[in-house]
Amino acid sequence: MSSVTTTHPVEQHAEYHPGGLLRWLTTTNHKDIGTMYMTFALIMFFVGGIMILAVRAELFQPGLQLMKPEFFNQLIGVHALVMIFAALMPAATGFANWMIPLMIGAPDMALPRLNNWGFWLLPPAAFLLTLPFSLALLGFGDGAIATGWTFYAPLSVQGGWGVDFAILAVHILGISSIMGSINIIVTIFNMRAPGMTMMKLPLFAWGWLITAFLLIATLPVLAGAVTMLLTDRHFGTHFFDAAGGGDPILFQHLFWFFGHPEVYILLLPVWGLMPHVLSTFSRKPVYGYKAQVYSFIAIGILSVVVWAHHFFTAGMPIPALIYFMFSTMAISLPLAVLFFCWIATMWKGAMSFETPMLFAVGFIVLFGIAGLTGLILADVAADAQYHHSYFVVAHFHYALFAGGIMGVMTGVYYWLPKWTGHMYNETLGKLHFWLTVISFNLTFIPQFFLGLAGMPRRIPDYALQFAEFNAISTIGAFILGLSQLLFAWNVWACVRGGKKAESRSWEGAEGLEWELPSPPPHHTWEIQPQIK
Amino acid sequence: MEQPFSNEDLERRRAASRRLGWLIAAAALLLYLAGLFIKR
Amino acid sequence: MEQVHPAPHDNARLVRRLLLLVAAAFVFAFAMVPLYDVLCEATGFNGKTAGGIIRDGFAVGGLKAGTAPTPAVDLTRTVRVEFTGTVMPGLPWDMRPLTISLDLHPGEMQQVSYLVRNTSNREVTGQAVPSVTPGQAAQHFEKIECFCFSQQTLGPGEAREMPLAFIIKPEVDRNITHITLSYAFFSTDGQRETLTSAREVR
Ligand code: HEM
Ligand SMILES: [Cu+2]
Repeated sequence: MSSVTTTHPVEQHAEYHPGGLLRWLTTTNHKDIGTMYMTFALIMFFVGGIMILAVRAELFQPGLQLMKPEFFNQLIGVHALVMIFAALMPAATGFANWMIPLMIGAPDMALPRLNNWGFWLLPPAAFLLTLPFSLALLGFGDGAIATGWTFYAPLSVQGGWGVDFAILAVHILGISSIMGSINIIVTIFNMRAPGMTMMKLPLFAWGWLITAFLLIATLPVLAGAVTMLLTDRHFGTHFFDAAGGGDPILFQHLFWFFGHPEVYILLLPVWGLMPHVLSTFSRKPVYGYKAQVYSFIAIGILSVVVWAHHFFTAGMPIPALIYFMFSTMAISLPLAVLFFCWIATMWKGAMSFETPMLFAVGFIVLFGIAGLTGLILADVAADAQYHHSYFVVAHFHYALFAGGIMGVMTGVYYWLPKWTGHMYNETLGKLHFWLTVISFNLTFIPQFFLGLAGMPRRIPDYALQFAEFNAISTIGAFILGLSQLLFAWNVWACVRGGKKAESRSWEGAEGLEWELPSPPPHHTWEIQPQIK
Repeated sequence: MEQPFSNEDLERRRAASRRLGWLIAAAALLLYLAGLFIKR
Repeated sequence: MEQVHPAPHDNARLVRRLLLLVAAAFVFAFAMVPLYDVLCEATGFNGKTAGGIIRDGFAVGGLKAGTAPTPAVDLTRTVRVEFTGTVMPGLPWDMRPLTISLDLHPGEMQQVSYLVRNTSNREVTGQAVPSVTPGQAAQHFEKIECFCFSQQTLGPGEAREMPLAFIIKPEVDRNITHITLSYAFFSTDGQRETLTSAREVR
């Protein structure tokens, strides 16, 4: 792969290409679908963001100022469901659609029509999830799901119809994700360019492969759990009703059997793209390719056997506590291998700090804090104090915002020139990075202290002693939210125009995607490259 | 790329990242050793 | 760069296998329901006690009924057993244990009772669900007779003493010196209905 193919043979198709909206409704092209996923994710990122800014505004001062506790409860739950299922997961799927075929030299995804359905299930699901808000405004029902994103029984058995809407939405989102996962696995297994063995597969594709298997193994369990919830609510079953012989704790087991792997589902695609960015801007090959592949696999396997660390305090025999504590801590070993490989990739490299690299380095530092605080929570004795406090909230935002969202932004800045054919505004990108990092820490460092001091999560009011840290956190959150407008603007401007991007948009970039022109033509790799 | 870096510049950056690597490793080691002496 | 045309692959077979995996995972979720009960029974996970009844095909508080063997009494130690109870929302009842706590030797049978009163002016049926803390003691807490073995119906304003006979089996770990038995009394109308009616009452 030494030569740069600037003119790629594009075969002429007698395909029907409708224009306008119909093009997007009917498209089976992986690039179009990738774009739709990313756009949807960006929109929902702002929808979820606005919800949580309302929450932070309420928490700016002690006492109840802006909303009723019921509405507060709805906002936190729907915020989380939107961010996880409608922002982060679709963003990752968008990357997969755009990049996996380009990176493995395939002409498209293996199942293009399934791909189209997979995307178009998302908007109706997001609509169903948020509809009860509007219905409540019109005087119907008592609003959206108010149980938090975890649906814990018996609260979710007793809740209003917001729970039913959320169950339906989760079913649809789950079906969409499973369709996407099947497509990605089939594409990676069957469509690689000749000569691309599994151990030559780009790490991004490897990360997604493990994610796809985890989704297939665990999402149906969540679907089963919420189905039981639905029948408990409406058809007289007693799966989670103690009076009828059921058990609410069973729900927690089922939920977290899905829920813990879910956090790795969200991060594996990001871990996959990170080495590409680090190697590009360090002008060095990826360090420890094999070690990273094996770590992905190890984390994938371990992630399904540690779930009960989310409810240590629900009551368990001591041997079970000890097992779940040590297995959880064991996950940090392959994770540490990844950290080591990331750092070793940069070491002795000729590093330069364009926006994607800034985000990548920021990711490593902040995600490291997520892992370390996770180890603290995995300690049974410590967790008895920190469980359900703001410490947990801070922990998983270091994992999911600094790890997930900032990881996605790393990838967006990195591949945006490839997608659009234009360079984004570097100054604006750097400003976005620094504003994000500073305001992110301003928002969440105080929450560690609040949690250590005993402030419970998911409560709209708090004791006076927590006032200062909450005020700081709210100010940070608003700067953080507003800074993301810079991101949206930068992306939009880059789509519209800008300095022309070369096919190899970054000096040190390696990989099949950089052999193609920027932007790549509608159809690529119809004649596959031979990998040596 | 905006301006491909000159060879001297790249060399300077390689040296800088090597030094920084050692520095961070030393800091981590120091922190670890300090931890051994913290008693409660 | 050398280039080749893509080779056709049998995608359908792989898709079928992956769909099978999806189905298996879905079935697994439902298989967890009985498995979980067996696991709790075997380990005392979650404070499920030994001895109980089968009602409506569901196990309440365990799978097999207590049989009242006469195990040897371990006179070398005493265990303090504490009794408590809660009435869940939607059931217009009061309950309190007539014995708050009791010191006994493992292996000896004891009898206590709860006073339960219907505070409404209609007939109501409830079901008590027991739970034992610490969980490790649960499998050695054997109920010989218990008002939780069946549903209880109280007429308007009626009060009744509800008896409980039990044994702490001598196999219980020596480190366990305190055991708490707690009951949650549920309305048999089901959670959702009771909550709605509770709202009406309020
Ligand atoms: C070494 C790595 C990690 C360890 C040991 C760890 C451990 C834990 C533990 C023990 C809890 C439960 C705390 C409690 O509720 O009391 C927790 C919560 C959580 N963690 Fe982690 N974690 C790690 C990494 C991650 C990563 C990578 C993510 C996300 C990508 C993540 C996301 C979450 C979330 C979302 C929650 C809270 C869920 C909820 O209750 O709503 N964690 N973590
Ligand atoms: Cu977890």
